[in-house]
Amino acid sequence: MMNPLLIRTLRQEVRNRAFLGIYLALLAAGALTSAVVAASNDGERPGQILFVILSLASTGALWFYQPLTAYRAMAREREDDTWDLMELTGMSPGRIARGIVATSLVQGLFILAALAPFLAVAYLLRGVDAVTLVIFLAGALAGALSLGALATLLGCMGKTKATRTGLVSLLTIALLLLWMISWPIWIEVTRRSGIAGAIASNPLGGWLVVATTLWHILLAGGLCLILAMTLMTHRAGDRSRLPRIAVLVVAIDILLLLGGIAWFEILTSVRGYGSDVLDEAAGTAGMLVMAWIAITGFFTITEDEHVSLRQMRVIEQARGWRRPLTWILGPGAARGRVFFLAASLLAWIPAFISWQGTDSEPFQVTALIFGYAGLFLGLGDALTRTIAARWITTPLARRATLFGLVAGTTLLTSLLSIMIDDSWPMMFNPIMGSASPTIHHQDSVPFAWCAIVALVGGGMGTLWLVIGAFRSWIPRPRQTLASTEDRNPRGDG
Amino acid sequence: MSLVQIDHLCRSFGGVHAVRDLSLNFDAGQIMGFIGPNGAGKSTSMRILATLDLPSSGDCRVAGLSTVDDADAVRRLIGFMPDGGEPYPHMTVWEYLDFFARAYDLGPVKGRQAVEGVMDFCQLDGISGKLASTLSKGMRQRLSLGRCLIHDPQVLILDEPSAGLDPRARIEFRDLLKALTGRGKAVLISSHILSELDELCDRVAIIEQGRLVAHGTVEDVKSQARQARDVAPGPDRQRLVDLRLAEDRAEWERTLAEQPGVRIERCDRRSATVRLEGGDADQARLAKALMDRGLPLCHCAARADGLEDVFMHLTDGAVQ
Repeated sequence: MMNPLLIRTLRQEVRNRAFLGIYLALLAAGALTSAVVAASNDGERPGQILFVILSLASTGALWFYQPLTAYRAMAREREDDTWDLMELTGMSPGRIARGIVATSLVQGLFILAALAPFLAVAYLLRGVDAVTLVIFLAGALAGALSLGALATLLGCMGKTKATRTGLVSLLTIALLLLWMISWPIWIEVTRRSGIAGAIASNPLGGWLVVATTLWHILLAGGLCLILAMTLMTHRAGDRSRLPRIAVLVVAIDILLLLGGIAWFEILTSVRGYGSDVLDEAAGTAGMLVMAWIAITGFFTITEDEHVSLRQMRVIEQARGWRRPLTWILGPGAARGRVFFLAASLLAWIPAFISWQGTDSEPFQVTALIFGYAGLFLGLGDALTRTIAARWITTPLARRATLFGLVAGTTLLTSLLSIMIDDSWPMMFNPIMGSASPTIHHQDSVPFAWCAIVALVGGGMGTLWLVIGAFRSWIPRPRQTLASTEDRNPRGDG
Repeated sequence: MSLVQIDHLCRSFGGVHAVRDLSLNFDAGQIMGFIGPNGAGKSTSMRILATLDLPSSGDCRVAGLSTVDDADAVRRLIGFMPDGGEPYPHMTVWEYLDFFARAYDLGPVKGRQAVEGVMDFCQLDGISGKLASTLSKGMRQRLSLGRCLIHDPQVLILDEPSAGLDPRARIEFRDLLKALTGRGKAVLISSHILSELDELCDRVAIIEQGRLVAHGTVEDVKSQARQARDVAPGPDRQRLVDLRLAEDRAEWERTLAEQPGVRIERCDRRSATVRLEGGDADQARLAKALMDRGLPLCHCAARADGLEDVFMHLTDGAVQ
């Protein structure tokens, strides 16, 4: 069944003069530009000018106007009483977010349809080759989709008028900059032999670059959609599964991308690259994935220990192959801790492969990142669940505390390093949180210091996380209650 | 267990306690009137019951399902009409209802039947092609009611649906609600037009500063108020008494004014309405005093309390 939001918006837009006006204006502008360019015919390839103008117009509409429309649509849905009515229908957050993005995309297609005849004219005037044109259209649409998803996410975030104004201002500036940055690309592709020329000289590499770029544009959009859906999910619902899947997808994507690059280098190299390239890629992937898991660990381990009855049902009612998945994807801090430890395996495996190969350094750095992540996450977890549990009661507060812990330690040790004699910083560098894993590269800091801190601190932190996971593994359901800090949405009771 | 059950519901916003320990219940086929001054906590309670907000403590249940932990299931059972919800722009009446039928995932056949059924029930047939934003307030309220009914819910939560309606639209809307209870729906309705709730409701709940002041059948609440008033000291113990003479007497207003505890609200040559301090005994004493003065009194009866009297008596208009 078609998305109701898509049908609703299309029905509304048919009667909306603004959209029809833009559509007709684009048609008229396209026709006028085509006529002028075709009549002038003083250059060697007049179609080039036409294609550049049309590409600027269509990306302007797709990458600037459409995302802003998606933002307005989402913000308006959230702002008005109509959001309540939509929530009550039981439409899933995913369906709502997809509906908004799909609407934006369909509107984008309408705009492209208005410009399509003139793009065809540009092609006939030899301003652009067929391959470049197809890639341009795919890129423009993929970009529109992702930017629409980003705008939808931002549309979900603004709770007050001030934040909404701030967000829309930021989005407008960012979209405008992005659009302007894209200008040289379109000018460049028409100046030489276009993308088709690059692909012709190296077909495999060229198509891989195109496919990888498109995939990552879409992946970024998918991540924005997942975050938007999570923000829209009921506070008592399962808000853990989708973000954790997204974390895994990004980690796997890093592995595949670096693995793919290495494989491609081996395949196309004339210098006889071998397994050392793969080892290097595995080592880099291990470090990057571990850093990603460490950053996202801030979010997964800080969830509430208690789960709502609805969240408990997610864990208890999973059957078959879904059941083991809930051990890492299920809601609650216990499963969040297990997720952090389990997801880190995605980094350990390539790091280990790298270690077995030519270079042990990436493995050491990966281990250091894990050690420091374990140290700070464990320390933060212990602090916020025991001594400070009375004051730090929400996931947001826990995340802020953890961030403060890392930032504070880094700042403090950095200041001490500056203040104290040159020989002393060595003492403090290993506990400089975020900086330490890379500092051991400098000759002045012995690697052993970092290793000791990471091994001892990280080991203890990890142990704490494991114990914490075991202690609260059996979910303790608790009714989800309102926050006392909530603002009355109606103001009049 | 009642179809709708609110148990010890509390909701605070910062330091403001919007709802405090509210407990009430009502069943299928009943209309529950929710009465309270502005800011009393009616809308907050209704939003929690409609799964749109969370309680600070306590719970609401619809057909035994928690509005927090089973929100998705509860949403299938309720229809909510918020105060001030406007239809989408650039959409006709039919398209508006069709959108919600699709959003409720009713399917093409059932959805179409639901839209037609609702348009027929709410008498929207003649305006199905009109833009919803151009409808009169009365028609918009009917459309909103139609939206509430599109998925055939068991419980309707209506937040001041009569606000801003002209008398005819109000009467027509009231008739629609009566027809709905005939179909077994439970209705929770808030309104400031108490005479309307007096006629419409089976049960009422009066709330002030987030606290439940009285609740039960309309007669029970009136009786509670009457009893409270009869035992109350001083000016709180008042009643309106209608008096009528068998024949015209020009001088009786002065006689009435001389009676202790009597304040004349209205008086003509043959009938009068007075506010009398005291209970039944004082009323009998007044009748006797008037007859002793030679007045041919043929009617002396305390006026039956309306919800407005009860409301005024039970609340003091305090806001938080």
